Amino acid sequence: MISFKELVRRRYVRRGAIVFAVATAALGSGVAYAAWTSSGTGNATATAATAQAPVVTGGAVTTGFLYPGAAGNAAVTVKNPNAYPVKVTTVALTPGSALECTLGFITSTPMTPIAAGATVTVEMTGAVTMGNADNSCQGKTFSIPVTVTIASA
Amino acid sequence: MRTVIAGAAVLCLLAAQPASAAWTTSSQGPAGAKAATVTAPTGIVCTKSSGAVTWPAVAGVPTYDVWWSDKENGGGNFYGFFRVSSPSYTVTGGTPLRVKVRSVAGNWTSVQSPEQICS
Repeated sequence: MISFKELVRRRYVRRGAIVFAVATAALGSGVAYAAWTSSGTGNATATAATAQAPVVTGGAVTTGFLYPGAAGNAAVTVKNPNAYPVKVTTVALTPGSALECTLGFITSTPMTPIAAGATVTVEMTGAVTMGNADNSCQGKTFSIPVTVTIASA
Repeated sequence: MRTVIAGAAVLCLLAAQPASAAWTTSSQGPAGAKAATVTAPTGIVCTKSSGAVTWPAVAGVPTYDVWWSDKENGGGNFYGFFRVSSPSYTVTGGTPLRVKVRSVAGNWTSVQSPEQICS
């Protein structure tokens, strides 16, 4: 005959086992059980890569031309000098920049992927605005100072 | 028992941590943009019978102003302008004999096109 106290103790033990099993599963099925191994000592060396800044050059737009009261397109060409793929996370007007012809620039988050060592042109639809510009601004090509940020993909 | 539960909770918290942070760098450079050039439309076609006036779109130009006349003699007597957002216009309430068109982008306007005689 099992006593009431013993029954309660067994219930707690069973619950503990269940909780532990669930927690182990939550850690991820991809984790393998470690084997018992022997080991020695020594020095291994590894050097982390240094993240290189993107190389930014001007891009030429072929659509979405600007005119007063409207937003037009902007383009920027970005080279990824790194040995790993990246994505262009933001393109923002460089602080302190003065723009001609009443232009404005809206920060873009294109998230464009760039393979290692590759160069892409990122076109940002409607990123440039023009206020009440005068006729002398017609047909002008603008070079807008921007800061391009990339992140490892 | 409490120890087991607390241990499971810690393990779950550890498992929820992000694997790694992205490496981020940035640099400055130029972005390109271009303003439209507002030139007058060319190649205007006007048909008396239908009243249809068409012309090839001017790149980067969103609207046009159209004038038309039901008189054959040159100069004056134009009705308009009529602003349209596509490169076409259909005259109603009369027969067009002569038309002229200009491009409009915001407060930029082109000169008026030369008068086009309708066929």
